[in-house]
Amino acid sequence: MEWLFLVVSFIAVVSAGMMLTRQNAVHSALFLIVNFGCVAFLYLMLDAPFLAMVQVAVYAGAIMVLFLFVIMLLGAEVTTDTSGQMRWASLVGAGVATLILIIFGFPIASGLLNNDGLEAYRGSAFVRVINAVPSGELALTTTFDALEDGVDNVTLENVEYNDERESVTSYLTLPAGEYTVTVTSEDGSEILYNESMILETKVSQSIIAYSNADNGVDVVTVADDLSPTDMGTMRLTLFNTVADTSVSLVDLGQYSTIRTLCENATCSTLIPHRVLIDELPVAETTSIDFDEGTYNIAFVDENNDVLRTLQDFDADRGAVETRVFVLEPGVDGAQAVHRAAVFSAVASPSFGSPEAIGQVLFIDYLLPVQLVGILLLVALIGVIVLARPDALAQAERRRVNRRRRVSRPLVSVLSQQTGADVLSGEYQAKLTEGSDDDPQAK
Amino acid sequence: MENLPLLVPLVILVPSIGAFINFFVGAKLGEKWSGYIGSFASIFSFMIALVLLSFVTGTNGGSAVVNFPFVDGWLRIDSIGLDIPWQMRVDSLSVTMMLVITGVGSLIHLYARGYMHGDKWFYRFFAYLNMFLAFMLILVTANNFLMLFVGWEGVGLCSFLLIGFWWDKKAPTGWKNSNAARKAFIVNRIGDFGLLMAMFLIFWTFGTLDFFKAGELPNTEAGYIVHWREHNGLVEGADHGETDDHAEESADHTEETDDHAEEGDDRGDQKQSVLDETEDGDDHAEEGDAVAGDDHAEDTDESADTEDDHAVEGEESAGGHGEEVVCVPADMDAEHAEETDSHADDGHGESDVNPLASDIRNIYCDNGHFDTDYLGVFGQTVNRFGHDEMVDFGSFEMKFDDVIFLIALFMLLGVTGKSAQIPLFIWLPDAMAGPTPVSALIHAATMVTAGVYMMVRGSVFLDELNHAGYVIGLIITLIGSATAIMAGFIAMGQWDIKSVLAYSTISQLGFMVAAVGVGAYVPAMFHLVTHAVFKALLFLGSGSVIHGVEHGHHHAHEHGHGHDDHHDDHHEAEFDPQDMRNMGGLRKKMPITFITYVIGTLALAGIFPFAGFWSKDEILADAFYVGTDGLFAGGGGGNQLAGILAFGILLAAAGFTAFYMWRQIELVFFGEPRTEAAKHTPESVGAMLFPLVVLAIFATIIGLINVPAPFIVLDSIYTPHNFGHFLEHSLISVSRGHTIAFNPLVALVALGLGLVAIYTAREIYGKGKGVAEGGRDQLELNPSTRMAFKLANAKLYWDETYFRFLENPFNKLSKFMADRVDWDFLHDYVHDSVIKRGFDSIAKLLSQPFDIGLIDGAVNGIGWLVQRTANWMRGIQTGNVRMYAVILFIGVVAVILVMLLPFIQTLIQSGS
Amino acid sequence: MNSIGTEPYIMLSMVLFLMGALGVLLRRNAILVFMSVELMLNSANLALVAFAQQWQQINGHVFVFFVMTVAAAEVAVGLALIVNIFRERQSINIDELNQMDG
Repeated sequence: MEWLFLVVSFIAVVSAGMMLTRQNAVHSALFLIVNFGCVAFLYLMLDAPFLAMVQVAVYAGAIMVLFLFVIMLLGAEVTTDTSGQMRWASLVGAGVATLILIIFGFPIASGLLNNDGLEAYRGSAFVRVINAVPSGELALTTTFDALEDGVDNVTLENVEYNDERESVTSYLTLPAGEYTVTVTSEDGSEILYNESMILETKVSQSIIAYSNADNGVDVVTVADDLSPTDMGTMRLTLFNTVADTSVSLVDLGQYSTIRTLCENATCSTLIPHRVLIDELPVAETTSIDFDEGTYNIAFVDENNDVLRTLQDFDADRGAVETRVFVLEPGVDGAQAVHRAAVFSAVASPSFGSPEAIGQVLFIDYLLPVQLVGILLLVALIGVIVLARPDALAQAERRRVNRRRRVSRPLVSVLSQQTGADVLSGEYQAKLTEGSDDDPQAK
Repeated sequence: MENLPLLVPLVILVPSIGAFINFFVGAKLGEKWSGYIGSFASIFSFMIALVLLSFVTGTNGGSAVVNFPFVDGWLRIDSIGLDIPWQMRVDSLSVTMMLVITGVGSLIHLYARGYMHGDKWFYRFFAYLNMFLAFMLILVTANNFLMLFVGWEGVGLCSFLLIGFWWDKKAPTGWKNSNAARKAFIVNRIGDFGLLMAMFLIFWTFGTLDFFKAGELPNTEAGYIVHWREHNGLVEGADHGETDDHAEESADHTEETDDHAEEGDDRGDQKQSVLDETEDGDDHAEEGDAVAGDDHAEDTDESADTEDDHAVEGEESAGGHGEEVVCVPADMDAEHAEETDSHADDGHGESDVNPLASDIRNIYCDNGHFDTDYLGVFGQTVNRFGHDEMVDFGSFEMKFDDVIFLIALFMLLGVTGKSAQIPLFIWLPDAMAGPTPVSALIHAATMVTAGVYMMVRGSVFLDELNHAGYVIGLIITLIGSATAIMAGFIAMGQWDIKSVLAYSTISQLGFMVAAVGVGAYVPAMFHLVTHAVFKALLFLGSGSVIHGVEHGHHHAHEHGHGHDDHHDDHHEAEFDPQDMRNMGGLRKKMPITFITYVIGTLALAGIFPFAGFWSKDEILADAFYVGTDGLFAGGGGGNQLAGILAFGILLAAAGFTAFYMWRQIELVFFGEPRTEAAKHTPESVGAMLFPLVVLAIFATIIGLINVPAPFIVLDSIYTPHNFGHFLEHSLISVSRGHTIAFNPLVALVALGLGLVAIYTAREIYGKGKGVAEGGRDQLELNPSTRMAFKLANAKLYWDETYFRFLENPFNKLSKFMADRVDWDFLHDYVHDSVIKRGFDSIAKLLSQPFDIGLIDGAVNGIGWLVQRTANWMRGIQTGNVRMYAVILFIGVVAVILVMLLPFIQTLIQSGS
Repeated sequence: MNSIGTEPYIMLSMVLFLMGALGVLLRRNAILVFMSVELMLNSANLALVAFAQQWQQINGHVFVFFVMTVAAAEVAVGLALIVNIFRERQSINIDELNQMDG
């Protein structure tokens, strides 16, 4: 892609140079538009599509148009020659500019500006706690003890098991670093998990508590992949917590209610299906992508027995789901049921996309946005005020059409106060009309 | 008895008080009372001196160190160990001097009442006389050199005051008087320098100036076992019972010595000694006793039997006063000493105390129980002399013996000043300008003898030096003898009656000094005593004569011319009542004066049995003895050459003495009156005659205090060498070498020479010859003696020589220094030209180029600089916006560069 | 990640910036000056976006957003000012706008 960059940058530089050297202001403006366009292209190359469009729309579209309007309004397309005073300045300026370019550019260009020694950017880490203990009687309390000073400890309380979509816990944003995570039962009597965990920047992790084979609770940490999904796909992450069972996820096509994949008793043939996840052991997780659509998927164990079927499973584009495959114990003597508890999340928007910018703008930088809005408002008003037609010219025109309305004594008083001959020339017109009009700033 | 020394401060105080009274209220008191006060003070002191004499004789030569009352120490600087107390010494020597001074002084006070009658400053005269007495007594009672020096200087001052008493007479007499006074003072000062140097050396060498410390025995020869007569004082304390134990009491007495025995720690003893009433409740007198007791403990065998019991000769005294007790040398145990107790005289103590009991280990006959450092100057000298000790003077060292020699030489210089020896005698003849009582007191009896007293006091030095073979004795003898004969020679040619006596005094002082030189201290002191008496007699007599002649002069003028009775300069300038040529035949006019004067003359001439015979004879005998035998037995004495020289010269001087004295008698009293004044001379008033008579009596009999033994028959009547023994208690050398036996040969030769001289004088001047015509002396008639007479009359040109070789060059040098060096050079040249001009030019240099040029320029320059800069910087604001923008841009670039500078540096280092 | 790294973009940004600075300093036409200022701002935006892409921080884009907004407002006001000045002096030659001289 380098050649593309070189071409574009070359055009940008050339157009900038042309802009600088044109006598005709309109030509300069047009060249500047070209330059803006090139920069917009460069934005695209830098994964900033939104900004590219904004650049074109605002800069090239609005600002430069404004420029052109004003140029034409003022008739300033042709400027006078450079005076002798600063003739040498351009050469000197060019020389100085070149010098600076070399001084600053050399280290950059030679690649000495590497980031090896630069301190890593400490951003935020995302972590959530999933209570996948199907008994539903356990509520978790999680404590994140920061091992570093200055970072507060966070406690996440009362995380309960809920197989509905509401059991999604939103991610907890913590400063990246090392933590001692303690997961306890609600009253703190039982410590289920007490480990130190390193939370990395912009990495999302889930702490999943599930019941193990001994009816105890195991806690495991799983990294979530919240990166933008591929175009038009949904990502499904599956975590198997059923003991002694390696579960497979299959796409049944149009079959929705079957109990087993085996067609016959000997299971010599299987009904046609598409295996999505093959034999996921206990306490393991994996991810697959679904194209957009509706599927019938089923969880199958090693014996090709269908443990659970999900009919009309909608794969929404850009969604990210985490399902924990649990074995719910039966209530009141009922038989245990397999469940694929859903813990969905929201995929992070792709870098440079409007969603990304929008998210940041309106969540983190809301106040500056509003202030800038006010600024624009003020600028708007200011421009209107500034650009009002000249009262003098107006007065000239109106004077032609109107009689004098100010009495002579007043005129004399006015002339006395201003010290000018009110009755002569322009001032007279100014003052006579000035008494009618609103006071204007001169 | 032991407390009697405590009276000695009175001796000083009373005349001082008298002087004060006369100074301040004398004018109001009038003649009579100021005269009374002065005389009374003097007589009172004489009484005290008598009391002290009784003490000394009563304790058989006891001595005491007395602290002055109300005065705690005198010069004390503890940090350097300086402690010079105002301490007084009562022993036989000082008592002798005291008696002489106060006795003769009292008579002179009485005489002066008559002599100074009518004088305007009568009271001032008596104040000065009393002051003089006080100072002289300070001198003789001093127990340390500094106090002696105080008295020394004081009498010098008083001599100045008294010689120049009539300073306010009209010129030129007033000037003559004040010049004489100044001469005396200044010449004395030269001698004082010598004494001061001696004192410095003494202090440096010995660390103290004290003659004797409390409890110290003057006789410090160890090893002598002298018989000691127990003194009551020792047990007296027991009877007083002031402390519980009598033994302790006695112990307390000599607690002094006890403490002293403890290696001389207690200097506190000195403080305790004698006079502090406030001390431990001890009977301080006991201290004094203790001191005294020690002295008893010493030698004094005499056991007051008044016989000679000389330790050396080991004679035992058998005596009525009590039995002797052997005193204990320091190294002897108490028990081993013989012991007795006796109470003897005053019957105070009855208790039988064994003074040598073990708890009273306090009777010593030497100073061996004292640490040498504790002893006084003389005691230390005895211990330290002859041991090759070196004295460290910082940059050089000197042998101790040499230091003593130097000390003696310096003291000799002081003596030549005070006692008018060669070369510093020149003040004494001029000092006759003072009133005659002054001449009598100061220059006959007291002040001039201070030098001899000091030499005798310091006889330890001379003795040790002579013993070690130094030539100090020879030097002293030479000086003394030369002085004696020279003065005698000059006296033969003087016309002034008092001049003759003055030179006679100088001559006799030469006798004394020569005696000291050969080691005959007792004869010197003896001669001092006798000389005081008859010289005072002669002076007073001459005063009487002068007074009479003056009166006669006025009478004559009254009768003759009938105008002015007053003492008129005109008349005085013309008529000198002191010139013997104006006298003559006065024996008829002033018979008593004549008789007393003859007695005095005979005494001076040394005619038996008058005083001078004994004393002068003793000197001649001792000189002869030393000249022939060398040393006194026992180690004292001078060297042979000195002795023989002294004998010869002094013999001649004695002849001169007789000659000029009889010449004077002939010229004054015999013959016919040569002037009107002489014809009308009245006899003097009783106030003046009375002392003359008394002194004449004394002049006759005083010789008997020291009759030599054996002497015809007198020695069985009077204790032979009584005076000698008396002084023996104070002079170590005397006890070493006692006085010698009578030498009849020398006596006869001296006597014969005197008689021959008198006869010669009578032949020349007597039988009516008197003064030759033209006012010339008989000797001038004879060509062979003319030159001698002229020389004598011109006083051997001493004053002229001094002036030519000393005064004049000094004056010229002084003038030169003042005029040329100080004024012309320093003031005019250095100050004005060099300093002033230099300063001006420097100031100008500093002001012109520096101040105006540099500093002003700098300051103004700063302002100019600021202006220029501001002007230049104003150009920056052109109003050209683009230029502003350019500058802005450059600034931004610069800031960025600075911010990135470290980064760029690391890049360059790591990259390139 | 970007295949060519961030440095070329930074270099380009610097070049454009310097060119814009030169324009500001050397052009007399006020409007040209303004356009050079816009060029400078643009170059800064480019640098921001490049770094945002390097560090995968969306904040850089947000900043660019703001910069653009402010630049727009500034341009509007500035041009209004220029219009006013032109009305007064009939000239937009900044050399002649020198009432502020010393």
